[in-house]
Formats: sequence, C-alpha cells, structure tokens
Amino acid sequence: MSWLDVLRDSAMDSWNIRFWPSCFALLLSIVYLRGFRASRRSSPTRFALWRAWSFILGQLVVLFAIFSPLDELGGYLLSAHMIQHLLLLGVAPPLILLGLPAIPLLRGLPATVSREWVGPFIASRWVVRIFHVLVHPITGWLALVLATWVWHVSFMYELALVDPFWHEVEHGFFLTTAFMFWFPVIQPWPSRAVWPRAAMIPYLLLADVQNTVFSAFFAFAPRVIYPTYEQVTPVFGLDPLADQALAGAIMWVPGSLIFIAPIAWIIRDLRSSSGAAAQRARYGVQEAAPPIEVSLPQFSSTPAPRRRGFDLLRLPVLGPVIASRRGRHLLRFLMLGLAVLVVVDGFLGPRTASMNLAGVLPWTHWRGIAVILLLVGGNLLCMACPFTLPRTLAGRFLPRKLAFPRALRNKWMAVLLLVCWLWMYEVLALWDSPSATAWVVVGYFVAAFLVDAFFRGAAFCKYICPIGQFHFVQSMVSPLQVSARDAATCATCTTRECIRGSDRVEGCGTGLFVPKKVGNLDCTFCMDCADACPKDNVGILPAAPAADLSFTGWRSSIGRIADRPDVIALLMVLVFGAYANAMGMTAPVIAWQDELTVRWGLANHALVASGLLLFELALLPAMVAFFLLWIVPRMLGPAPVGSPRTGWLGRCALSLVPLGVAMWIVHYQFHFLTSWASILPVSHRALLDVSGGSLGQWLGDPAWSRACCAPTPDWLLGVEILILNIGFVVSWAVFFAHARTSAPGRSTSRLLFSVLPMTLVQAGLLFWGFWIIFQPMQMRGTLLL
Amino acid sequence: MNVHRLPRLVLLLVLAGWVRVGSADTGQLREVVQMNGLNVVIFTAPTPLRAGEVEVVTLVTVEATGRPVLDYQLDVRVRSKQWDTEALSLLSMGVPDPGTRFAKKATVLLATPGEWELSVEIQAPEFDPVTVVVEVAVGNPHPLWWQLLPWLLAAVPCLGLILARDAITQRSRRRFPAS
Repeated sequence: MSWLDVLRDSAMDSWNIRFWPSCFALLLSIVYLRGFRASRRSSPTRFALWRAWSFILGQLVVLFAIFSPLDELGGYLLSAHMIQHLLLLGVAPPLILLGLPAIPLLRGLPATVSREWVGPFIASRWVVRIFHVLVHPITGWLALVLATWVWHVSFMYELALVDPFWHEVEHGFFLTTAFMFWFPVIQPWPSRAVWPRAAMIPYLLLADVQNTVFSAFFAFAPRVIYPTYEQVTPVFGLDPLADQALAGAIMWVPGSLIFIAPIAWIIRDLRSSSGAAAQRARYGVQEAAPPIEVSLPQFSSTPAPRRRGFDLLRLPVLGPVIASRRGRHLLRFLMLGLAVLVVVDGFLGPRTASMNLAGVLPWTHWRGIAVILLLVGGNLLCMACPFTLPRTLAGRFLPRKLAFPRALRNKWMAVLLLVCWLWMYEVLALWDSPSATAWVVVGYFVAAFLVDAFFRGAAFCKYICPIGQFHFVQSMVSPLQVSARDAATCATCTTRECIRGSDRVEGCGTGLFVPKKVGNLDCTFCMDCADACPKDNVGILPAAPAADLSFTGWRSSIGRIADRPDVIALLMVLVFGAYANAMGMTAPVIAWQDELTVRWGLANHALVASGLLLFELALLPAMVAFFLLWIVPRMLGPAPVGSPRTGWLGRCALSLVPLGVAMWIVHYQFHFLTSWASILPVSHRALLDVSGGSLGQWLGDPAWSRACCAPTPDWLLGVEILILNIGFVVSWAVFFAHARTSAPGRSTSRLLFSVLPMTLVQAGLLFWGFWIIFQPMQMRGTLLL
Repeated sequence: MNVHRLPRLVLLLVLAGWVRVGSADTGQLREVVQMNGLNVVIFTAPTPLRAGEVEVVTLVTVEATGRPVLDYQLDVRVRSKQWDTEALSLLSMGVPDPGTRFAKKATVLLATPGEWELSVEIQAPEFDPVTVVVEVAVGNPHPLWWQLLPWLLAAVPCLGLILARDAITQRSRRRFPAS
C-alpha cells in the first residue's frame, strides 16, 4: 500500500467531530443569523448578504481545521500542521470579521441578555479601554508575531504535539491573536480606525517580512527541527526534512498571499478616493456613508417592558390546537388513552416492571419528556392532564357548590402527599411495581373526581395534586407563561371574565387574575381564562427566564411567597427531593442500605430507606432553613419586604429552585436517554398479549435487548455537569439579586461576603449532585413482600 | 355491609395490589426466555453498562406455575466480541442476591468498552439446563472526577462575570446617581 493510500484511508477515517465546539459554532451561527436578519432589515446595504456567507464560511474553516483529518495528520506531517495553522491564523479570522459580527451578535441575543448582561460590559469604560488596547494595531501585530514564534519554539511545539490539551491551548492562542491582528485591517463596522488606512500597508508588509523569515527558516534548515517528526513522518514514506521544507514553502507562498492580497484591496480603496469614498465603496453605498454612530443597548436598572412578539397560541399548527377547547380536550383524551393502557397492563400484564407499560411509560418516558416540556414550554403538562376530565364530567352532572374548606386552602396537604409520593417511590419501589403504578393512576382519577364533584374551582389541582405541585414549581424557570397580551386592555376591563367566568366558560379554577398574575405558580395552563376573555387578550407569552424567582411582591391568589410557609416548604421539599430521589438509585447508597439491613437483622430495607428519606426530605431542609434563618438576616439585614421571620427564607427557597430543577432534569433525562428504546419491546409484548399470540407469526418475539439501555454517550456526563452548573449559576444569581435589592449601596466585595452562607448551601447541593452523577445507577432497592 | 368498614376494605384492596407484586427488577432487563419448562429473566446492572465490574442477575420461575426456583446453579461466561477468542472467556459463579432474594447474581469483569457476549447457564434440579446468550454493548468507563475538573468548575467564571457586572453597575450608579 503506497503512502498515498495510507493518507487517503487516514483522511477518510479520521474526521474527529467533537460535540462541544460543534454546539458552540451552531449556537453562534443561530445568534448571528438572527441578528443579521434584523440588522439587514434596517440597513440592507451595510449588511449585504455576502457578509453572512463570509461569517459562516469563516466558522466552517475553523471547524474544518480542528475536525478534519488535518488535525490528525498534523501529528505526523509538519506540512499538514502548517496548513492547519494557516487556516486558523490567516483565513478564518478575516472571513469572520468581514461578517461584521458585533451588531448582529448583539441583536441576535435575547433582549434581556443583551440589555442586562452584555450592555453593562459594553458601557463600561474599562472594558472599552481594554478592548481598544487589544485591537490596537501595535498590540495586534506583536501578539500575532509573538504567538507564531513562541509556539514554534521546539519545546512548545513538542508540548502541543504530545498533549491534546496544550494543542487546543495553542489553537486558542492562534485564533485570538489572529483576530487581534486582522481587526485593524478589516476594521469591521461600527469600530473606528485608530491609524490611517494607508498605515495598514506597512502593517501587513512587515507581517509578511517576518513570515518570510520564518518560512525560510523551515525551508532551508539543515536538520529536522522537531524530533517527533523525525520518528513519525517516515511512517508515510516521506523524508522528514523534505516534509519540513514543504511546510516552509506552504508558509512562504500561500502565507505571503494572505498578507499581500489585502494590501491590494487597501490600495484600491485608497486610489478610488479619500477615506469617505473608501467607506462608500466598502459598503456599496451610493450616497455619503452615515456617521459611525453605534446604538448599543442601554443598560437600565429597571426591568424592560416585556416583548410581545412571540405567542405560543399564535404559532402555526400547535397554536390552534392548544388555543381551542376541543384541541385541549383532544390532548387530554390522548393522555387518558395512555393512562388506560398503563392501568390495564399494570393490572393484567407481567409483574416485571421493565416488561410492562406501567413500568416504562410513566417512569421512563413521561417523566423524561415532562421535565423538558416544563422547562421549555411552561406548564403544558397540566394542560393535557387526563385527571381534569373527571372535573369536566363532574361539572356537567353534579352541583359542585361547596367551597374548599378554608383550613385546607394552602399547600400543606400537597407537601404531605408529595413526601408520601417520594416515600412510596423509594421505599415501596413504586417504579418497580406495575400494579402499584396502576393503583396510583386509578386512585388519582377517583380522588380528582371526588374532590371536584363537590368543590368549586380546581381545588384538586391547587391544593392536593402532588404531580401538579411538581409542575408548578418546575415551570417557574420556564420562559413561557399565561399572561395578558396588552396590559392597557385589562386596565379598562370591568367585567373580569378571566377570573369570574362567563356564560360559556368558567373563570380561572385556581383563582388567578390574569393582570395581577405573576409567573407559573398555581397556573395549570387550562386556558379557561383565554376562553373566557371577550377581548382575546390572553396568550402564552415569553418572560425573562427565572424572573419569576426574583419576584418577591404580591401574587394573585398566592400573596407574597415570603409570607407563605407552606409554599416555602413545598419549594424546599421539591429541591431536596430532587437529590434524594436521584441518590436513592445509586449503587453506594443501595449497598449501604443493604449492609445496614443485614447488620440490624431487618426483614427488608424499608426502615433504613425510610430513615434516610426522612433525613433528606425533612431534617436536612429544616437544618438548612434554621441555619439560613439565623445567618442571612445577620449578614444582609432584615428582609425588605415580607414577614421578618420568613422573609429571607422565602427568598432563599425561591433561589434554590433552579438547583432542584437541574437535578430533576439530570435524573430523568438520564433514564430517558439511556432507556427510551424500552418502549418498543414492551409495546410489542402488549400487542402480542392483546392478540392472544395470534400476531406472533408476523411480529416475532419482542427484542428484549432493546429494553435496556445503549451505552451512555460520552457527552452525557459533560451535559449533566453543565446542567447542574447552570442550575447553580442561576440559583446564585437569583439570590445575589435578592441580596442586592436589600443592600443597594453595598460594595460588590462586601455583598459577596454577605451571600457566602447561602453560597455554601448552594455549593453543597451542587457537589451533592456531582457526587450522584458520578455513581453507577443501580435500578434496584426492591421490596419483596 | 357496615359502611364504616369500607375505608378499611379499600385500604386492604390497595395493599393487596402491592402484596401481589413479587418485585424482581434487579437492573435493566436484557432477555426473557421460556425454555425447558423454565422462565428465565436476565438483568444487568449498573445502568448503563460501563467497562468494569458488571452484575448479571437472573430470575428463574417455573413456566407452568410461576413458582420461583431458588436452588439453581448460575454460571456466566463472558466473551469480548472484539477479541474473538475463547482464551479471553471468563466464568463467574452466581450467588444469591441479598437485595432481591428470588434472584441470583454473578459479578463479571467486562474489561474494555465494546460488544460483549454473556452466556448465562442455569442448572436447576428436575429441569434440563438452560443456556441463554445475551449480547451487550459496554460503554467507556466512568472518567475520574479530576479529569473533568474544568467542567466541574465551569460555574466559577460565570460567577466572576456576575460580580464584574455588579461592580460595573455599582460604579455607574455612583457616577450617575440619578440613573
């Protein structure tokens, strides 16, 4: 086999497409194109279409340099490595800068992010000064030359060759310094040139001179400079010295072209006219170029008015379905069908959970899909809840005149049921018992019917349903919520059908008044308010994610969360429950429970598991709550709003919600991603059972090997860590915002010290989560009766 | 019927639902086979499989009656499909699983990631031996935590940015108090 064959085979086989850089590039492209479209609308000549292509091409060049076989071949051939460096230093950065990325990237970001998070940095004098220093022609030129020479010193080059980490650091340096170098040459709008345009000619010429010296050094070196190539290049049947000379030639000829070509472009610009004419020529504008005035987002401490562009109810296909009463009923009946399947198979199917629809559908698929839907779309799960059908039925045939008892109009019963639910799940292995799952579903229907048959509104959803409470709290971080499309319309409304109801439709069952409603807590997305509103003023609209958690004021039908110990308890149980629930399935915890069970001579591990759960769900949250109640007011003073006793605790509980959400997502997505295919053989088996085996000759036997998981993708652990980190950062940011509100004049360093106790609690939960995801999952903990 | 007994009856019915269950899920289900009068269910743990020690758990019942069989011998042979040689075949004897008393488990070492073949042999008295072959895909071993340190500490620069933003905002508020 000739070396060309080897090279060809290697090229075919060694594409190394990595997950994270691909994600980053994709995200960057989406943001850029979104912003480019908006920018092009306001300034079509400046943002000509070729600029978008240039930006995308630049990104593709970067990806080609690091993913393609060039990366692999660079370890064997210096010439291949030089091509890779040339792409990163001289091709990709100017292409990206020609796409005028600053404004499109800024406009492409969500408004809140660009205004609240990027805005302050852009407006900061220090940041602007540092940026100007970095893109100054002298800095850029020196940075590129230094990076090129330093990374080609034998020791540094060898380090990058043998260690992938340093190889990536090297590429990072090349890309960064190349951007610094090319910035004054391209001078992308809206930046201003520091030097006259003509000065860029010696700037580029000098860079070319150093490149020539550098290339000649490689081309005419009498010996091999990098020892590694002396060893490995002969593998390809090549002479290492010849390969080194080839590398020098590549740097010399194409490398020089990269510096010389822009000189021609600049001379053409200068010849055509003065600077203004050059500007016109560059942007293809016929009249004088507009003054370079940049309208950057202005930072403001007050929240911006909500954007009303997006409305889920006005989306094609999905919008009409969920906007119509029949469409929502259809979703509920679909879910009812699934619930019936779960119940029938749970009672009549095999007793092994992983062979039964009741063991797979609710615990692997429904939970996995639910947490993502709650995060992305708000409380859509409650909208499609089949347990609301008994309420509709009861409303049609029964009087439903009673008011729910005043003493029970709080979340305490829901908290208790939630704890019971988690206890049954862990200790009675609810997930492992199809018939128990079926009983729970039946019990749910009966309870929902009985409660809603006698009591007005949606008492079951608001005060009792543990699944509903889970949905309410998880959807607090969602960017979508049911709210008024136009506040002015509500201000003039006197009839208030959204809460009182109309002749056709009942008002909000959970007592939420749309104009005063904040966030998703207690909102079942039933859309009765939208049906009742005669002005069609209710939609599912975007809100700043997690803004719900920063709100401490009065909420319709809920009051202030800081004054509601029952709501605080619910939040704490759901946060700590996330960790307790995931930890219960890890191998060390199960081994520890088994060991204690044997050591204490117990019949089964129920007692040990109950004790552990009691600690995790009650004692630990209580200890954390008392610690925070004691320390936080001492560090931050009394809570600005709300009860002096629970004011801070409410804020702490709200800020912990993202950490809980992150852990629920990590846990449920793990099961879903590793076992989603389990539905295939289980459905297959159910079909065979229903047909009495007559379909067996066509369907064959169920492929049980699919019931199990594929090997975990290598990226999954990284994604899990990332999700937990995002939960931690959002949680920390929410509490920091609460702290800033209570101490507006305090310096940042002092405030950082003041939030330290809460940071410790948050970091404790984060590291608890890290520990859990590093453990092997043991799907056991079975109670044998 | 005395209506006061109704709640108790409902409770008993609910409990009966659980009592009926002889839960035996001891990992991820791999195979269900009816052979020689026996019903053999094979599970593996942990989930998902990673290179290293792996438990193979079996639940054996009499096909006709559903009665669990407890006194059987379990042998598990493992073979890597990449290294297609019997020399690398390993044997592990099953022991009763303390967590799930109906089941037996054998711990085997699947040393490398890739496709493996588990040959599970059940020898129960009064029944002919049953051999079930299961193919499993094994993932890379779990990385050590320090190998993921940059990921684990990803939150730190984010907190730095939040603090920098706050410092900038405070500074601008001091400079322009009216805003």
